[in-house]
Amino acid sequence: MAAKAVRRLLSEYRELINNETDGIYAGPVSEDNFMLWECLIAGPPDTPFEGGMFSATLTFPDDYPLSPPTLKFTCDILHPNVYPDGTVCISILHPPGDDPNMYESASERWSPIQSVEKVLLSVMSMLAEPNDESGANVDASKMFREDRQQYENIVRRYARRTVGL
Amino acid sequence: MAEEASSSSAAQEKADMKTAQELADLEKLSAQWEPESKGPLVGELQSSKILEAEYAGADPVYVRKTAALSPKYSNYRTIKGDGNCGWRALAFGFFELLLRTGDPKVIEKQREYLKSQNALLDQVGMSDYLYEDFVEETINLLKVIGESPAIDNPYDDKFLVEAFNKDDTSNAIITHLKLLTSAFMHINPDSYLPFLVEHPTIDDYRSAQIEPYGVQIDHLGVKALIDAIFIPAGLSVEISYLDRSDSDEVNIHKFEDESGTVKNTEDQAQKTLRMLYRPGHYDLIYKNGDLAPQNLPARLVAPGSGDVRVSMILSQEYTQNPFSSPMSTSHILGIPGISNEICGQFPYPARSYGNHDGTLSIMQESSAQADIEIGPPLLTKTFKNSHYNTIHFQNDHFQPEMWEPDQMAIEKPRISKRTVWKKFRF
Repeated sequence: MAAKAVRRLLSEYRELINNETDGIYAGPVSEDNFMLWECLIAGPPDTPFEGGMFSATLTFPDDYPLSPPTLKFTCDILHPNVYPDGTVCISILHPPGDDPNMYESASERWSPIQSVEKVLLSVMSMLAEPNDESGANVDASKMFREDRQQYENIVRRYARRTVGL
Repeated sequence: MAEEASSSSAAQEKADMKTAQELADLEKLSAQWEPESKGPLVGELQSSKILEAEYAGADPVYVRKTAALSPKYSNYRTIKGDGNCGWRALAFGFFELLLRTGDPKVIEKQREYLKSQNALLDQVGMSDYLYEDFVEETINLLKVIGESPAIDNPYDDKFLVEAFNKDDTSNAIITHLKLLTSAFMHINPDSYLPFLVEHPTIDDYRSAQIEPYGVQIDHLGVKALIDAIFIPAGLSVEISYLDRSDSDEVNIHKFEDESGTVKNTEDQAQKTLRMLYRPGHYDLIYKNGDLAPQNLPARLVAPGSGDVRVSMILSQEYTQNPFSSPMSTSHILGIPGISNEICGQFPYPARSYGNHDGTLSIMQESSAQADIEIGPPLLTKTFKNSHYNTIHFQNDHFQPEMWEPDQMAIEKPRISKRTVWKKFRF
């Protein structure tokens, strides 16, 4: 099974290198293990995340692309849809039938025709527009709703930290 | 004392928390639990009597319907209930129908057509580097069945069953068909939009119900897939609904080309995929004629020409066939329903019993065990005189030319249908 996944990931990697998308960088951690990738996601402009470069790992299942990868931030980040351990919870990363946010827009569901690029773009737009109803991080959701100022301050501080400031 | 009490209550609390944690864990596990679906992705051909046996103790509606089913549909093929059964049944059936044409040109034409459909995928914005792996598997399998040795025995499903039981191949082909269906719906929204229930737009429906792997196909998806793949290939699909609705037989719905062109019905019968739908699950079923070799005169395989006659003639050829299975038929003749399997399955020499290792070995084993355990008492009178007895003239598969009066007196192990079938792994 995994051979198929590796082959697909290779062509996705090639595509990412050849057609670079602004603000997202991703690639396998090592040539020996194509099932684990590292990635960087730029904080979207005009949000408190702006200026940050958020690092994360992507872990691919053996039956990729039938099932989606998991994405976990490896830097400090405060966001309603990111669990305290860094794991991102958005519908594109959930296997079919296990969608926590049924009301999310259709284009964000996982299917074998989705890709690393789409996942990273979805994460980027998640940073810009948190969904405070799904609440992977309850405290962050609450702060986002009730004390936006404090939320933004913390987010900015973490964003600066990602680039060593 | 008080300290002790508080520490013990703390310990108690801790224990409670642990239990709560355990409960939460268990709850999580139970939420994630899925019944393990057994068996191959695509099963071998079996006698449809199995269905009758399976429902023997069920609701009378099912008993009635399955009993009415097996004389008409001789064979049955299971598809694994892993959430993809409808897609897999249709995908397998598509290849099987193409192979059965026995015509390399037809298959080649389909191969070219499906390759050309990449343009459709491009048109709806799918990237070639994301779909090419899936398309490749479909194209490769069409190449395999369009060439020797597969094409030489169009009624031998060996290559297809093998290919469809490889996860990679099977799932890639399903995915390819899903993408084609999805793209087809996107460019023909008007045909499907009126039927959407939960989804506001066709695009929403496509991305939620069609494209993801493991999402059950629904009626609209079946229709779209047939419109996108089967109709252009001149194939049609018939679904028999086995449910508790009030009728004596399964309800049949036929999906075919509605463009109004007149069809040769006999030809059409050969190009119809038959699915059996039970709420939540699809399998494949086959009429006798579906599995008959092409070199038989059409009148013998045409549907409705009389099951008894068809099976008689086929069986006759079976007995004369030099390649016939070495297995002793008398060994299984005593078991109701088994002789039907021979008739249904035999039609092509290469499809001899040996292809069904699983089924066969289980059957032999269980009857052999029965010999030892039960001993060979006489058949009961009730059974002997009923139409279940294959040497009774009212049995569908009674074969006068093979009948010998002595047979009626032969001692046979008394094995009820239930004892035999319950040993099957469904």
